[in-house]
Amino acid sequence: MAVAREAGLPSPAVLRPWLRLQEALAAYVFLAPAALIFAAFIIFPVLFSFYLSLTRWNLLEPRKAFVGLENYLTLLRDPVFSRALLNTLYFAAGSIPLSMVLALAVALLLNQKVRGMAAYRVAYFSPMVTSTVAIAVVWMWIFDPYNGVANYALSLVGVPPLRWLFDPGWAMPALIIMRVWQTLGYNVVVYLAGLQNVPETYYEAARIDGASPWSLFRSITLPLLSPSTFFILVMSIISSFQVFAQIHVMTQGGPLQSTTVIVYYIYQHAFEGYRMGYSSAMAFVLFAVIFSLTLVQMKWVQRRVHYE
Amino acid sequence: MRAVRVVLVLALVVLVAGVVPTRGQQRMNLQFWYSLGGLDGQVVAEMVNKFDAEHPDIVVEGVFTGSYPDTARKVIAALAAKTAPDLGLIPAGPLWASQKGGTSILPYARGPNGIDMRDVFEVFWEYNSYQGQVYTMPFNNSVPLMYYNKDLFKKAGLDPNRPPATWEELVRYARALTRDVNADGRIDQWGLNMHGGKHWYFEGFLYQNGGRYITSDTSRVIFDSPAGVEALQFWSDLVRRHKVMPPGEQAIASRQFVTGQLGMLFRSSGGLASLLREIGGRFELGAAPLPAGPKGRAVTIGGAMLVMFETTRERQQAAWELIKWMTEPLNAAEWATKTGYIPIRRSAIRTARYQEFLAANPLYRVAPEVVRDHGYAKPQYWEIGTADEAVQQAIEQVEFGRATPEAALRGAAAKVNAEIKQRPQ
Amino acid sequence: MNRLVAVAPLPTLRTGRRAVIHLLLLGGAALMIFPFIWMISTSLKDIGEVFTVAPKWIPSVLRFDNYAAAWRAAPFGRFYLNSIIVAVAVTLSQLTLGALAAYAFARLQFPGKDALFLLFLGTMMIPDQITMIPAFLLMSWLKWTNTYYALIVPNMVGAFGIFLLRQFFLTLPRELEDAAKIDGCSRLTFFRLVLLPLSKPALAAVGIFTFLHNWNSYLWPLIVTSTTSMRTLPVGLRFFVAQEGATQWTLLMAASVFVMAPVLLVFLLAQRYFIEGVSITGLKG
Repeated sequence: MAVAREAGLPSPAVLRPWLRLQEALAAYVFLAPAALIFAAFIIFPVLFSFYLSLTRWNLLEPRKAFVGLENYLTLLRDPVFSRALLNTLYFAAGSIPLSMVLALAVALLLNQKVRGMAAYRVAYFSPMVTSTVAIAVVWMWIFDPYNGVANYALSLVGVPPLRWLFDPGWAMPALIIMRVWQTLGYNVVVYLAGLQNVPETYYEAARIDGASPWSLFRSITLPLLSPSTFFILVMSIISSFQVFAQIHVMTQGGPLQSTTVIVYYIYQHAFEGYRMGYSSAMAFVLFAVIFSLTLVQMKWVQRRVHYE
Repeated sequence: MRAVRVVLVLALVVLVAGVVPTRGQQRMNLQFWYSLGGLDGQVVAEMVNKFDAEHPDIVVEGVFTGSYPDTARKVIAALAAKTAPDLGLIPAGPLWASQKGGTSILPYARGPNGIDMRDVFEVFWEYNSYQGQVYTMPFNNSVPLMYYNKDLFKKAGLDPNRPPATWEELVRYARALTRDVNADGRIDQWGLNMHGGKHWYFEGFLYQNGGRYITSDTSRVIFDSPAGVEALQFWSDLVRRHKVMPPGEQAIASRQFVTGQLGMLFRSSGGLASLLREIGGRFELGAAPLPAGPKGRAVTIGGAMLVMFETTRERQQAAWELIKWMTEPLNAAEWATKTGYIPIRRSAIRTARYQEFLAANPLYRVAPEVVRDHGYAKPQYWEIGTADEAVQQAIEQVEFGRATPEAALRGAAAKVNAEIKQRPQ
Repeated sequence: MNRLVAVAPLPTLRTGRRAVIHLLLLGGAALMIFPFIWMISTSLKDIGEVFTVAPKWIPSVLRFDNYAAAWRAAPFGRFYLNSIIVAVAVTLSQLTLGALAAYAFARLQFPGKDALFLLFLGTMMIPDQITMIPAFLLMSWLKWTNTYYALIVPNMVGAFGIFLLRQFFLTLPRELEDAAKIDGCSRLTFFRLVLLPLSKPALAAVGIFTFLHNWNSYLWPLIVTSTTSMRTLPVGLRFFVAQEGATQWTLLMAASVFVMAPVLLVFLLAQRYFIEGVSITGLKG
């Protein structure tokens, strides 16, 4: 502020609000292009969709029948919708912890100053760059009940073959396995970075005190990894709730609707049944669920995550 | 500077790309959407090219629009946005053609540049109607056939030239063909399986038992009639009582068949060419009509149709030219020989080309005979998608033993009828 | 930031231990890539060999012509061009607009900042299905269907990118800006000449993610394009899946390989940046 007075500028009391205005204007200018696109192609469709959720419309009728909250009420009573919600939770709860735990294990291994780490990283990361549609076909073969590699592997350990994608009880586990395969690499990279930012000094100090490897892990590594864990958790939940392509290509929601997750159910109503209103209502409920889950996690974070 | 330059380049790219010139502005440029992929789609593309060569004043741009469901979706969106093409080879055609933005081919078929409508099999006209009125032109129709592995028949002591002709024989043959080949306690050779959409074969059983899917005025589905329940019970027995068909494995049925692990396969007649290719001569293929039920033989036909959309008078006439050309006896015969779909006209069947083809490939005789003798057309109505989906669910539940045929069908019918009640009148 | 310190809570490695680690990692890596091996293997097979009772890894005849046949089956050259144009345009745009917005959120104060940020973030949680139909209707009203506009413009901004970039910008020291201000540098100049060059890893990360996601995008291009000349690669893959005939598996696999190859290449080349960027942004949560 001394600088400003020396330069002959007006006093801070006058300058500050002007500076704040300037800063705000600059911010809006920086934001404008992005905001414009968002408004037109995301906000508007969402609002329109919300309006649709209050109607009954099959895309072809010129008039959209306004039905108020009827779609939402029907949703509450729709047994398939609750089933879809449960299936989605099953998918998330099945794939996320597994992927995270395995990723942590792999990251710990990769952190051991082994040679060829770059090559390993590429190998573990490669599933992330594939197009789901293309690789789903391969996975369908892997899980083939008669000639698939999965059953072959089971037979090596004496387990009788499973019908996988054709069995209402095993279809979802099959999809979970594929999901873990797809997401492992990304989680490994995040954890690896997290591990490499834990200062060596902490470990040295603890080792001097005679701590065992396990307690080192539990009291130093894990807590200091919590930002990474939190990030992975939030991202994984959001994306696993939106999974669609695998189901569309591999099981079409079956058998017996055991793999019908919410997004797939929405798709069926919107793009196969042309029930625009009902599917929009469902999509909003899904959005609300994801949003609340994320909020809950954020609140939980305030108390649990350790930042440096 | 770099950021600004980047943004400028970006803007330039977008602007330039947006001004991509459209081609062929002198001749009439028709947009033709077709929903056939794979080899069949390639034949369509070839036909389009040939038409262009023979008609210098018309250029047809053929666009593959994806699977039947993908295409249906595109059509609906296009009609809503008023960006429909000139014509299309689309499933459930009469539904689209009868809407705002679609138009009927009937005036053209009956007009001075028309065709002999009696030359086309009557059942195809039924299939191309909506509420009793013809809207679209038949083109690629098919019926479900029973394909069978003659070598496996011989091995099981069955006569390869006498496939099962009744429900009882079907069960008997299937039992003989279901075995645990490598004695590991699991069945690895099945007697019967079905490719793809379950509801189509259920319709077969239903009609073979004297039942119907929906009332002729499409006001109510009636597949839960006693005839329907019996038909589904027969299906259930195949899976659960006689154990000759694996539950829920329709997606891999064809594969099981071509690798010699399946005795009999229900599949569209349109799949004949592909099956032969995939079998690659490993075994001898047989084809026969579906067996007769208590009320005789019956199947429902499937396939897509040529649909005309509402544009200018000139364009519609050009579109009709294409439709007429594609279904001319010689071209229709050519189409049928290349793909295995049924020729839609009697005169096409009588052409020397097709007769030679039949003589060399007797398996292709079966489908036209089935159509002529006992092919039925299910009415077209808006809730078909829901109905077929509901029936599929019902069949699945029964296959896995989660519901009785009666309960499953009742539930399905209730769902569909509820939706029909909401039909805007 | 580039210290690769070994921070393992394990005693010094002996050869035996190292071998075990390698074994485990190798096993895991093999599991990760074997689906790709199968894909390539099938792409080189003859159609008759695709479904044999015992899985065949090595085809008896190498049908390299599958690739030529797949390429010819549909105008893949055009699809490639379209995919590249669209993916590059979208990526550049998302990086530019995203970085601008992220900077505002990270460094500037303005009313409604938190609410706006939450709004941007919230859009990440919106499933595509909600926005698809209205967005398509918008495209038709604007007469943008079947043009590059429809493929590019709606995707010009991405919430994920803004989020990652903001996180990254937050890790950069404030002193940089104060120094710039004292030098009389405008915000935009600072942004261009100082901030962006420092953010290469993060930009690379966001860039690759965006490129990837857009390259593999299927449903939207399918809906908004209706002529073959405007199609993108994933839609082209559908050509091999037939309705009543049979899927041409070998061609489908061949086509899948050449659809995935460029992305894999980009990833291999920019891998270091990418992983660095991901790791940095993942740290602060």
